Amino acid sequence: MLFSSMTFVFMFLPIVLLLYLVSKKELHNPILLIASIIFYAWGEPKYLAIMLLTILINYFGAIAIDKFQHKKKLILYLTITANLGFLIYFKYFNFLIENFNGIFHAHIHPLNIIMPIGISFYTFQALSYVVDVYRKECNVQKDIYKLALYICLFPQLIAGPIVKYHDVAEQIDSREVNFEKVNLGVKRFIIGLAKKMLIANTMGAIADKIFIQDPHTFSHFTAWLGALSYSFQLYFDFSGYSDMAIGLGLIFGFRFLENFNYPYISKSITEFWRRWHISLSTWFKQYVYIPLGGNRTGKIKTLRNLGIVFLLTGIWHGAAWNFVVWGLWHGLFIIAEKIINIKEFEQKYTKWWIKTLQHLYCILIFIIGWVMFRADNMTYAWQYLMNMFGLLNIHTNKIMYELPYYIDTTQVIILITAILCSVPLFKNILDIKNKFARAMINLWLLILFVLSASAIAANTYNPFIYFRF
Amino acid sequence: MKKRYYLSFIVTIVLLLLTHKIWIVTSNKLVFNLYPFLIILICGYLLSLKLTSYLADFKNIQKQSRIEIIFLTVFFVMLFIPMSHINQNAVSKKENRKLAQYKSLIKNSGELNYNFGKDFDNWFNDRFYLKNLLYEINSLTTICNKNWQTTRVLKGDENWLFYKGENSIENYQNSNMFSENELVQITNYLTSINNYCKKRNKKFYFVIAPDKNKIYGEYYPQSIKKVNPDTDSRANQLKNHLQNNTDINVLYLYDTITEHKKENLLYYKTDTHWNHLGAYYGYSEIINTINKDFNNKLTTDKIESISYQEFSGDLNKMLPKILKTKKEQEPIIKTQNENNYCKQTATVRDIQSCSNKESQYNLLMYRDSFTVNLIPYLSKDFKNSKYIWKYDVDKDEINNNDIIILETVERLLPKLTEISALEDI
Repeated sequence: MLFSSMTFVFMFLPIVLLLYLVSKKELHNPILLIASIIFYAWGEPKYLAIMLLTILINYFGAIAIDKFQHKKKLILYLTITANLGFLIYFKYFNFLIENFNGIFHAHIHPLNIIMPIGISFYTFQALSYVVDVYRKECNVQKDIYKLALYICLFPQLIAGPIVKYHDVAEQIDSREVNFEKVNLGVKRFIIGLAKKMLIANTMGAIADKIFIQDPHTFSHFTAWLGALSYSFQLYFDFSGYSDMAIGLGLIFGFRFLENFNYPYISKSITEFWRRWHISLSTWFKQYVYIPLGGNRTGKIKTLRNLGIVFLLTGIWHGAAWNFVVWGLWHGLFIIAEKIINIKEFEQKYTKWWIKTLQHLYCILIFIIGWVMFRADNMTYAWQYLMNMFGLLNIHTNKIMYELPYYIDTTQVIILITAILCSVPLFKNILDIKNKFARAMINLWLLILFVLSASAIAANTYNPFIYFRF
Repeated sequence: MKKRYYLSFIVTIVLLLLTHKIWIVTSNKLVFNLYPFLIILICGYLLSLKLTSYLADFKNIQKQSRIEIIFLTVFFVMLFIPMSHINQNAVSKKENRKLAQYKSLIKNSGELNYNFGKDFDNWFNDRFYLKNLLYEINSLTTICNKNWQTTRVLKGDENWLFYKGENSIENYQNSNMFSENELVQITNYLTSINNYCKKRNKKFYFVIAPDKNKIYGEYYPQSIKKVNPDTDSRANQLKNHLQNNTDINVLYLYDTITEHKKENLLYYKTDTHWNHLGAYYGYSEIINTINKDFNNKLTTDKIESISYQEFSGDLNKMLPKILKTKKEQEPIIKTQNENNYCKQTATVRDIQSCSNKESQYNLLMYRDSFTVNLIPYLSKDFKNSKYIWKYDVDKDEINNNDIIILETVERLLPKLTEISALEDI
């Protein structure tokens, strides 16, 4: 089930909320667990089996780690292998075959594998649990229902944030549901939904029109518009989803950590990754970078570790070469910033124009990155980037559309809104104490909710030109 | 304390008004039903008193401001509105299609329905309450744009509407040509019909109707550019290919229509199709071409007079209320052979047969929606005429007729690549 569907917002959510809020505390976890399983099984019930297996493996794996202390390393490796085995099989197997065929000129047929939704997210959550138990950062979970709830909790199940076990272990055992949390949670949910339905989808419509075309057939300006719209689509889509997840979590009494912190105002790529998809970068930091030795084993090894982390970050986002290149692209600048020691640099030079230049540099790097991320393959990405920088020979007689086709008045307004919302202008809007201002904000949120609902409803509107009955 | 009682009383009155159909039966005259009235009155009052007390106490217990309580209450009520009433109709007139049926989790055969989630989504998406209102609200955002687009409709200049589906934008731009392979596939199919007809002494004609955006491109949004001129269009590519490689009679009506468009409006502004006048010129060209093969034995109809009436087309129908354009004037043609006109009884989609006993030939036409306006003219010239809404022909039908026409609008030409050639044994 998707958050942005009629069934979720206007059927699943009200029923689950009603049951949850009127029932006693003892029933909270069972209701959430059943709801989460229905939520996951909704789209593709067969893959529920994979998730349930993941739960079982990690449950017994962690208990074994706790019990057989002398062999705990071996058991940990076995559990990790099992988890990654599922992930590699379902997500990367065909990609590996493709490359194997390419390198060795073999003709192995790719398998008909459909990736279970959310597998990248819940596998990482499961790994976080066993490693935390291994490291003795948390107690082993004896109650399989509670572990199941941690792995398949529906708010963050299919698009994050990746909640780490040590952050929520106590909340699963007991948490308070109160008016303030529900109120704040509803507001976060509405904001997230509006980000997704009103901003991300509008920006996506612009980007889709441009990225479907051959890069030779649009102007440099159009290319920039496409890259910019896609950057906003991605940010508002992803952070909107995180907002919805955090909001839903709050309604059910959980406090998840923030996942985005205005990444587009960063002044370096290092800072960007402290603000973008925070739960993923901290996961890699805690479970890959630090075990590899972090930055305590010499300068060369630190750089190597950073390279590995960003290579993995790239691959995590998808099984295709452009994600690998995208990850390495970011890794490259992270390493470069480490070498010139960006922290010292920032302390040394504090003039406004240097900061502006730094900001422009960062924007340029991540926008180039997003073009690779969006493109279907590296050839397309390369041509698109060449077009952006005026290095591509555009066939002027083949230009298919002029600017008004790509972006109309409404979309210009939304683009401006997107720019305003990606800087911390409205950051503390939910903490305002003034009564009148709060009433206005609440009214505005309800309007946003109606608009978002109308956007969801419009997607279900599907008129036919010919008579179908 | 007293405020609660007043408030509950008001809520009860509202409740009574909302449910008036239960206690006042209006079958021609008003009948007052005492018992339901009393039940609703008393239970409604008790219920709303409980509710208002609960909300009032809630404020005290939770120490929350009214603003937040109202906000949350409104939000929760909103969540329940769409599922509060499920539309039970089988079809949607607005969307012009059948609505999805409910399919249960366990099928009648006892099997598990693995697609239950998707089926349920489709069912709920089609039938939730206030769907049209929400769609109208969403359309508010597009109204300020000059050339707005919805999923299916594109607004051009001077309130001209154009169809957006079926790759018609690319078709307008002449940017999607047929590949060599596709040309061969279509040629194979058409040649197989032509050969089948020739063997049995029947005549086959292939007619391509021009798209509206090709004829009235001047009203198309200026931001959409033509990549190739219309002389290099996909329809012309196919026509030339067929003429150079086969002896099939191909008729692309682009030139004919363009020639007459200066005199009169030939397409609807609010519909994708040609109007009765445009269809008349198309018809004339078709019948003239056929007549060359039949020594002018077919009668051709001439216009006697034109009158106008109000019309609103299929594109307008697909739009939400606030985006709909004004009704337009539709030309109604009176022709000389009016008496021989066969009445259309069936709905547009069905197979239609018409007859005119004075003529001696039978017509069989495979076609799409562009033939709808041709039917009144063509039917007058044939002894029997049969119109079937599809592109793949049937051998049995061909055997019973003399003239076979396959009519396709140009944006749908690619459909012909999907049909395999006729086997003639």
